[in-house]
Amino acid sequence: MTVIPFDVQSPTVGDPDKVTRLLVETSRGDEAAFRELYDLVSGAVFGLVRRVLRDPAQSEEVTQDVLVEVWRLAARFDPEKGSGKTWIMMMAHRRAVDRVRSAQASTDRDFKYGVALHEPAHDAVSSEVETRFEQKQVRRALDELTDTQRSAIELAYYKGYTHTQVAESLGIPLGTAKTRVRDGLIHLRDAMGVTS
Amino acid sequence: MSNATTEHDDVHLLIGAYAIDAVDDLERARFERHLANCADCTIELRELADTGARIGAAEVATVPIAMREAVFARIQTTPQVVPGSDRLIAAPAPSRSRWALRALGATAAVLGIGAASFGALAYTQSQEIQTLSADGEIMSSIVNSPDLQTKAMPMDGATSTIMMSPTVGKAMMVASGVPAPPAGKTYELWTITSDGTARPAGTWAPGPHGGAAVPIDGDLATTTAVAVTVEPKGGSTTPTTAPIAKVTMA
Repeated sequence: MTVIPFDVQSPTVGDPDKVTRLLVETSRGDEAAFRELYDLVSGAVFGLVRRVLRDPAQSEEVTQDVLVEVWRLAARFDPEKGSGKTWIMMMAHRRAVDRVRSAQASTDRDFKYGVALHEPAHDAVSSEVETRFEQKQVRRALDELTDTQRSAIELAYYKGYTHTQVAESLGIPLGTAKTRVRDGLIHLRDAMGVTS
Repeated sequence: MSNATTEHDDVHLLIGAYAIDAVDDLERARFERHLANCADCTIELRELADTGARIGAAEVATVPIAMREAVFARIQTTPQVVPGSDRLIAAPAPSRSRWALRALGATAAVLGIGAASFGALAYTQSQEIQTLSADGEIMSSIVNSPDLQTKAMPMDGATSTIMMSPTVGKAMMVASGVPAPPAGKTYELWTITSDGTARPAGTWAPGPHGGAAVPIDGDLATTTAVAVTVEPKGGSTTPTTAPIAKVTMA
């Protein structure tokens, strides 16, 4: 098995527009471009989806669906308004979160399905990848958050909680949860030097 | 502080939660309406979304090798959306298991929230977002409801689906490939009760590409069937022609 890095310490790092360019080519039905795009992003999509969903089989299913959606909806992507990487990762996150929430909905109806949600997390990240620059940067940035911000971001981003659920889970007012998520993200943005 | 300012700040504060999907569907719709008119938001959201994407991309993991060919095989039979259109290029007949999902995708596409529905940067689609109406919110809550049910409604040459949610108490029709109604005519939806009474449930016309997503007026609980007829422009109070499509809801 090969680990295909996504925009980390690889030729793509100096060419952040490559994903964007391939996505635009994909929107015109260019299968070769899509294959190249797949190789660049599938590892990150799968990693994120698995981090959120935990269940390997479901994660594979959702990852496949996301990648097919990338192909299907590529024409909706507007390179003027954002990067291809963000577009794809947001799609992956959204689909994973949707799956978590529909699982929660069925948990509410039928408790037995709830068990799967509480299985211990698999370590989604290989040690090889652990050392990669971008990941270190993210870890460092997360470490710099206050504990309260970090727990809000982790519940929202990795567990798919809405800010209302974040508030309930942490026993804080709704406004506070909203603010913590936003402040936490702003902090991460500054720590990672994200600019648009 | 005026109410308007409070409302603005309140919605604006959702930006972080919105950027990483920590909102429910109504909050999402509310924020997207705000976004369409807030230049500051657009820049901040772009940065926060990029931040979320960076965190996500750091989770890179080894992909099972078989997935590569599976995905490439699937795209061979997956039509792509046309730029700036709500229409799919001729779709192959969907399998049953994929059916609801496809209908959902089609609905979302017609609503112009398709991008948002699958996490695509909604704010890049502000033109579409501005069209998100109260109807859009109802339809969005149906599509996203946990008890979403779908029923195919055969319509000559077109594909149409009734989507409904008992908890929302509403239904909607999603159709594609619908020809424009004849000159001077309109399509009209009807809800039919158990005693056979047809009640008008809204007139509609397909978009330029043959797509339509129409909320169905009336109470879902007392509706036993839904039908579509062709009526004189402006609609009728009772059907004047035989239905071109009809489906039983029970």
